[in-house]
Amino acid sequence: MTLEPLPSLAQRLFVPLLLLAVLVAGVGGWWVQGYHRDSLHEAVVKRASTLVDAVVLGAETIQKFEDMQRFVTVLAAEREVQTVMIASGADKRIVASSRLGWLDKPATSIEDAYVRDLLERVWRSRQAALEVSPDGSLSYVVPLRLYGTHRDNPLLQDGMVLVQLNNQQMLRDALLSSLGLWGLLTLLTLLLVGLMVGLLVRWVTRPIAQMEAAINARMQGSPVRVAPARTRELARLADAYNDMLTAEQRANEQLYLIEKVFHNSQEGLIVTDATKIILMVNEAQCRMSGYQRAQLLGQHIGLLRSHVHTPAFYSDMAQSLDESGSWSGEVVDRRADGNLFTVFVRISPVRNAQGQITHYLSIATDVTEQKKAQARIAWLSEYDVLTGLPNQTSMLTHLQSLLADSDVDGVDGPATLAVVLLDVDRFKHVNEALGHDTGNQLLQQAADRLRQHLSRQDFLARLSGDEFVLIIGGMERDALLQRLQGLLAIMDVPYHFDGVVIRASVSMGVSLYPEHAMEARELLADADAALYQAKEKGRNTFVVYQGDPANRLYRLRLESDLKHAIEKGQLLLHYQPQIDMATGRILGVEALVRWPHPELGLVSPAEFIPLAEETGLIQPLGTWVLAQACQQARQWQLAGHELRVAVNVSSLQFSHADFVQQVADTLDASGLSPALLELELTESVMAGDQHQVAGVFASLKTLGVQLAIDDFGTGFSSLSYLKNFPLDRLKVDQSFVRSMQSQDASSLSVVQAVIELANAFSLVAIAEGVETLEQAMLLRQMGCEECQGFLCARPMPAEDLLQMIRHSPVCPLLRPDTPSQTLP
Amino acid sequence: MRVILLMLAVMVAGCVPSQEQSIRIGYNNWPGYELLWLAEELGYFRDAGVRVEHVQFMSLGDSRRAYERGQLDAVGVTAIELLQIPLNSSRQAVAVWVMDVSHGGDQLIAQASIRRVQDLKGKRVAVEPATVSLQLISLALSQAGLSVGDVTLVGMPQSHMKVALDAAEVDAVVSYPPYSTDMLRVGKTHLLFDSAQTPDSIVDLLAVHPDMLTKEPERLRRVLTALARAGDYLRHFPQDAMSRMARHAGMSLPDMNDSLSGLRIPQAQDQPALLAAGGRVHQGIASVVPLLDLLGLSEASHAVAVEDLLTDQAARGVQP
Repeated sequence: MTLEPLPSLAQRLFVPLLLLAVLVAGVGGWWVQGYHRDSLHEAVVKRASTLVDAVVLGAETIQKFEDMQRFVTVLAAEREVQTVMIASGADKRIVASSRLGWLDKPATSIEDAYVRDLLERVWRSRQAALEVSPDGSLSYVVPLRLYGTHRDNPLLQDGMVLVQLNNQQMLRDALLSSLGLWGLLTLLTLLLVGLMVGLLVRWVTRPIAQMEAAINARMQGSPVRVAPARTRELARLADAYNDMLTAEQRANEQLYLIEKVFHNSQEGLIVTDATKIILMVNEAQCRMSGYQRAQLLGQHIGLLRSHVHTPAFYSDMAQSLDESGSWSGEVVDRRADGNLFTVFVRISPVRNAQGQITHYLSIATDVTEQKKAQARIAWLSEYDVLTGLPNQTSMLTHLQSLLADSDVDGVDGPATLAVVLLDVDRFKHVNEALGHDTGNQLLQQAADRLRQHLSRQDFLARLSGDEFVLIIGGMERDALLQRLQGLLAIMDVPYHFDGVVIRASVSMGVSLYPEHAMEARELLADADAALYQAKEKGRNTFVVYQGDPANRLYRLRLESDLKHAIEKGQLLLHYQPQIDMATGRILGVEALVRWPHPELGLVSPAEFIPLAEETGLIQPLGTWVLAQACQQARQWQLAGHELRVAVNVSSLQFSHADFVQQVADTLDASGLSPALLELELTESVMAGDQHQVAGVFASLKTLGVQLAIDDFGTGFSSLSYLKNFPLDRLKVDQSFVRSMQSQDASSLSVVQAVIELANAFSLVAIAEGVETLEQAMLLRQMGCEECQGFLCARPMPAEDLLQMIRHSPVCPLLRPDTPSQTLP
Repeated sequence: MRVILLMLAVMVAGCVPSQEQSIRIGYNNWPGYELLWLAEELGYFRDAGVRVEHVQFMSLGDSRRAYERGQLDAVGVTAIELLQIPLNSSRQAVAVWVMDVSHGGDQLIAQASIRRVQDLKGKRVAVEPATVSLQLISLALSQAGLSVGDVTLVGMPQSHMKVALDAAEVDAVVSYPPYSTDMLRVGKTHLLFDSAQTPDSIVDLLAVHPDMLTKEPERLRRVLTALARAGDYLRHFPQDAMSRMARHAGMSLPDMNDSLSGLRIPQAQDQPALLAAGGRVHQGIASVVPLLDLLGLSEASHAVAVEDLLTDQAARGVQP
């Protein structure tokens, strides 16, 4: 923008001011000149009349002609006076004159015709005359009466006075002075104009230029404040401008902060215009949506829409915006890569002063992760992490909902339900022997197996540990039992883990709806009771709940009674002979605890031993058994029967710090030869700290006691401990012996392997649960040295055993003369 | 702005009339001074390019006072007035031209009974106070071996002297033509002493303000040149010149003739010698200094520097 062609304010004002100056100077000059001329004329006239008055006065007072003449000449010495003359008498004789040549001559003889004529006129008219002579001088003639002024005529006579003033000089002076005055006036006016222009520049133009410079600087982005002006109006303007700068600066700072907030906000921010075209978008929103900023700017907000929501959703949103002024809720949007993301959005319209919507502001929080986490939490609350199966809570919910939906008539849901509680047999041993990782893998694989054999209506959940629940709906009892049988077989298949083969059969307890109970918890409790029974039955089996509601409390009572029984000495020891398979002789006995409950009758060790282990009563129980067995063996020894007594030691007992001392003390107390005491340990004992176990073994061996491994082959069987630990005997588990011939060919292999193993390590192999002669023969054939079982003798009280030793110390069936060839 | 001011200055300067100021010369009706008028009437001043205003007075005292008042630029004076001017006023005056040398023009006229100057002892002598008449009586008395203290000086104007002498109010008067002409014509009184007996002592001078010497020497030179011409005219055409001079002075031609007869008009070439320091005029002026007592100016008499009162500078510039 160029404004050069326009004159400046000073230029604009200069011309009028100059004209004003010229006008003032002109008018002033004219006035001064006129005034001077007038006043000069007045002064000249006054002068003339003063002179005339003086002459008249002199003429009237001075008596002597000579003095009069002197007076006249002296008067005429004044610079502007040209002539002073007095004439009198009829002949108008000049009686006094500054022009000495005129003296005593008649006025009529004056050479100057004008003066002569003037004097003549005055003489005649007797009227004073004031005239300007042709040469420019002023002539003033006044008539007067004189006497005594003429030496020859003392009488009063007419006369007249002439005064001529040279006003040319005066006029010239006046002109000069008026010119000077006018010049001064003009100069002053011009100075005034200059001063005014200067002040204008100083007070107006310069501040305006400064203001302009400030505005330009502000437009170029480096605002400067305006210096305070010297006039109120401009000072106010400067103040207003400075205030504006301050306000602008503050606003800029706010804008800057708002922009910072906008761009740094962790929430996605979008500003659109009224037509929902995106005008502004922040980093968080770009990140969230996966778009570049440039891709979003200028686009319709619909770019972000997924097709998850119905058109009605968006129209509801628009309606809400119109009516309530804002909308908030969850929206699923589509990312640039096509993935969906969920945001919690708050949309607020921005309205102008007229209330029209000009912009929309959207604040979005990405809740996709939150959603996932919520889902995860929800899932975790209902599912088991390890197996991915529903957990107890969701199982209960499911079961309850099934029960609620169920109609006994079978109209709405399955008329019947079976709640199957599964428990992995000896899982605890697996965990203890192989570690929890293996235990967990076992559980996962077990869960997988179960899952693979589910039908559509089935529901499988993991309760805790190695317990699973299978809910089967709408099956006939026979079909159900058949299916469970099949399941047992499936689950009994050995698992393979990193070269380790584990057999983990399951036991199942089954309760039926509505037959056993109507409520979920009751059904579960019944199934639990049935499971317990299945375990009792020797595992790898299932039991359908018998319907004894008292069973639930049975264990609790048993626990309390057991404690009582140990204290009161209600427990008994029975002894089962261990036979040399070569001779049939009784080599020793295994002490087996019996609990003749006063009310419940004989309680099976399979019931109360696990109970004792669970409750910690195994410690006092074990101590009692050890002591009792040692005493008994000592009595037999004293009676002359060197019988080895085998005592079962639980892993809990074994791991007790005082165990070795306790054994030593017991031996001391009983007086039994240590060699007659054999401690039967399970394989799980070996799973502990090898070093510690080895130490205990060594100590026990130092005492002189014999050591046997119970149930060898069922758990953690390792060649290393056979080699490292000072063992005497391996006991082949009765389950192998029992199934040796009938069901499983592998059992035979296991038995054979165990016997060979024992032989290889110079250990004595002793088979448990030998019930038939065939088994005995087979074992003997395989090289098994000792056996134990119903075939030879049941467990019996000590008195009975003594009788037996006295009467038939050799098992007739295993006598050496018994021909083995007779065996099948 | 500057341009405008300059224009204005030029404009103002252009408006001022360039006409030169005239020189006002005052003198009493003494024939020696009438040469000034002769130069005027003959147009010598105009020829020389100067304007002169002539202001006539009835006495030397009047013209001196007019000069002292500043009414005149130049004045015709004798040594007495020349000495008085700086003492009476703040104005200075410097004599630049000898208008005439009194050669019998100043006269001591006494009653017939007084035959010699010596006879005046104790007598009453009328003098024009503070005029050259003092110089004359002083010169006359000193030649006769008397001093001013030996007589009684009676002050009166020239115009009264004849009456006073006639009435024997005084024994002698110091006068000059034309006043003396009447007195001597009657015969009752006679000329006792005149300036011819003291040559070149009593002179009439044209005195100017010192500024004219320093600031306008050319104008002064022109005035003096015109005067010299007038003197030449007088010598060559005495009748015409005197008639012109007499008419202007309001004197009769015989009076004029009488007066001039007692005067000598120095020529231009004589002027420098007369006016030179230590010259005759210088001595004449110096001789008057003691008389200042009589003027009531005894206090100031020693302050007078005679050499400051005259100069031959201007006269030397005038071509004869």
